[in-house]
Amino acid sequence: VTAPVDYLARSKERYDALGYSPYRWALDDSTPPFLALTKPLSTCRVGLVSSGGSYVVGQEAFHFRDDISYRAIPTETEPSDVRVTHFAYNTDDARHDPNCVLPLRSLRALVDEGFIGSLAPNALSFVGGIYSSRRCRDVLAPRIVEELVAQQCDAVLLVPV
Amino acid sequence: VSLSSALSITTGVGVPRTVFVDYPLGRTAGKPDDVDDQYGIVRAAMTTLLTATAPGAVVRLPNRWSDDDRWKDQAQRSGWSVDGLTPVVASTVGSDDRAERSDQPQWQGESDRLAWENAHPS
Repeated sequence: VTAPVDYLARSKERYDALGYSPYRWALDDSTPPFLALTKPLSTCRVGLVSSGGSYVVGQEAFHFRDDISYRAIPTETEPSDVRVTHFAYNTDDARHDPNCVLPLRSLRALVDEGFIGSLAPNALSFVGGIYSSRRCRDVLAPRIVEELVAQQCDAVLLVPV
Repeated sequence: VSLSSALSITTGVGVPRTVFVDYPLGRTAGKPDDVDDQYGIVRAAMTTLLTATAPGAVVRLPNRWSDDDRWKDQAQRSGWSVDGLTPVVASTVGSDDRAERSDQPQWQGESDRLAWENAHPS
């Protein structure tokens, strides 16, 4: 097994080659927040957040210029009604099977067998590759957190792309 | 808990729990149409809610995208949107091959554009 692809290093090389100024990745050296579960996983409500650019037929697609909006995707949505758009990854597989970046099928299976308690009513999706990490942190992230709290999530699965 | 296929980026921002899936970007929650693969990955992520004991815990899954890791060589040295699955075209090396930035909705297809229009009559 070979080492993981170092996308930080790759991006730096690409920016250098193009003559762009270095991209300042969000880096945080402090200890991450960490809370242990306070109740059985089988009673927890789990939220889902993905940066894969998923939306449901009938919703507006994302655009590619620092779009900091998000879509609420009912977790009962059939995969055939989920669409995907994104400017910075190959979406072929995610368009064919939306579960590659929005794993509703797997989460529903875990609810059905009682491994987790329930799903939040809505999964939340946005497009990654937002150039301003400040706007992402100060505008988008608080909205996502607000939604998750309103949905009374005990735990959240993040799927960055 | 966060899944990740870009370990250096995810650990760099400081996530409570990370489950590393060594797949090309855009397949982090499992291979297309592979229900068992997808299920196993998400179950592993949920399991870390029970097993991780320290902030920044990283679990590396043994899942492999293919028998060899050639896709990684391509992903490491090629463009942004090239994921190691698409052959590298010489002209894309050294160019910005990401989609043009636009503030117009980028529909997957005409049918979902029409569905939105029908849902939002002007």
